[in-house]
Amino acid sequence: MKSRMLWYKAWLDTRWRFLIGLVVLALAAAGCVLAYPRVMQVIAAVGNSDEAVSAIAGSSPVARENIALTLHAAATYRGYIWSQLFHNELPQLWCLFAIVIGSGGILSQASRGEGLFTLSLPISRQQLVMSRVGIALIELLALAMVPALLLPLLSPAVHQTYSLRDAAVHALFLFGGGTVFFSAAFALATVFEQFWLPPLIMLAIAAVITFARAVAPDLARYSVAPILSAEGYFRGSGWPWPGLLAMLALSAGFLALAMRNVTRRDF
Amino acid sequence: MADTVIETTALRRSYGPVDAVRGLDLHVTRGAICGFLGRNGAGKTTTMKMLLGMTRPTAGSAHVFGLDAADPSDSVTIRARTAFVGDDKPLYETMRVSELIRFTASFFPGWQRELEDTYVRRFELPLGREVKKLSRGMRTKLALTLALCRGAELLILDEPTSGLDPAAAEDVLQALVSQVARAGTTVFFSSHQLAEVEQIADEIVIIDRGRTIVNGPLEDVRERFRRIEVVFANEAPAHAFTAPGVVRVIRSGRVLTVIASANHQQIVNDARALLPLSTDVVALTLKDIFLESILTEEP
Repeated sequence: MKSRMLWYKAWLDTRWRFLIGLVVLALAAAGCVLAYPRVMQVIAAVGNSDEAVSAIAGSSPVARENIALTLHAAATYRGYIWSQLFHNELPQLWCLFAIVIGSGGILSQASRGEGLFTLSLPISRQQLVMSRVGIALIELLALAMVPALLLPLLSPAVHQTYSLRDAAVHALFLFGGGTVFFSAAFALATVFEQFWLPPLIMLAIAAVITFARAVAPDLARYSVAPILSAEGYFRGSGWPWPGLLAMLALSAGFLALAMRNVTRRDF
Repeated sequence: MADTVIETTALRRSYGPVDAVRGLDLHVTRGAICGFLGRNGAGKTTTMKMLLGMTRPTAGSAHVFGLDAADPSDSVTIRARTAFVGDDKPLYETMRVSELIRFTASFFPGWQRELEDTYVRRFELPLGREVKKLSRGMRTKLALTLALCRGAELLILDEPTSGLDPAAAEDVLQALVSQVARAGTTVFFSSHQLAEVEQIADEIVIIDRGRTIVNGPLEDVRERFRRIEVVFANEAPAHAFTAPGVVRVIRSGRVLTVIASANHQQIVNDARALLPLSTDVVALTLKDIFLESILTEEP
């Protein structure tokens, strides 16, 4: 009963962030499916030539690469969904909401006063952290699964089909690889009292990585993006297990750090 | 030891170079209502947090029910048997009153449903209202209801009546007294309202700059402290009272005032040897005792 109520409290703390994320991601997935006929018309009109890519992307190598990838992948409906959604919008939006859900927590609540009420209850700090992490992971899994599962459901509306297996695999890799963003924000939230500081730090890190990739495209091989998009699975070149395991290990490390911070902290 | 609910020994808590609590020794007897007095910043809230395991001591020890408050496992047990109401009455703002009551009740197997109904009626708590929309008085009453109904053996209350109007404060005090009378709960509460402390406390602890100045049953403390006013025909002599128990000597014109915490008769005898016109021994109020105690501690 005690732990159930702790989980309930964790749900109350994060539910609006989660629900907003769910709506945004679901709309992104639905929009991608429903825009398919129109996008195909545009691609047919523009053509799939190097000249067309250059005309759209200019001289930016990253933009050229992305547009070329989209144009080539969009030869099939599966490729269109992957290039638009799992390679682009979904990981970006999902990671943003993972960071927002990871922010806040007992330190931020204690600075506002209500954390003292929680700390006066007969629960250990480990229980407190675990309930928060548990609810967040369930929410993040839902944020990955629900938009992905909308694809097989909505695709018939544009006279296409999308495999349930593909949807589940992409969702699970997004969840498994992207949890590190939640964990990092969660660990930062055990250091900084201000709610918005962990998201700002994480966004600053993301901006630096994006800039570094633009300057040195070779760095892309170390990117987490191929894991989040399960690119190897999509291309049939193998499952990105090592990368996924590395991300999960890193994520576990951040969560252990957060647990250590909370248990040692004075309030 | 069996009758002691709270016991600290040389308890210390430092924040960098600042000592919030420095060598605090105190004990609170089971079933007592103990007023915890001190100026702002004296270390009262920090002490309470250490008793509940929210803050760890830098040195010394704090035991509640004989359990080590600094031990994470023991502190969970302490909190299962203790209710805490913080100064700002921290509660979950977005929950409704009824939701917060159910939430809190789930952590305490000994939750007293009938008592809850009694206090909800008595305090006229609006069950359907969100906590953030409650007045300060209602927040305090809700916080107290959550504390009283959990069947706790110890209530730790930080300024329970601060910001309340006299009628609401009286309601709160009566609730505390009836809880002690009914369940034998120990109450350890801080307050700046010395009249309230005098009204309900049977033990007091006065601390200043993180150290215990006075600790004991209120009646004993009252018995110990006396103001001895010695009036002379001319200018009062500058006399050094050497008897143990002299807290302070004030010389003002023809009057020599001695504040004493023991050996009143010996001090009176010493004063009479100076051939005064009159010598009066006056009992001190709690306010006087508090002020004299902390003034004595001035550097």
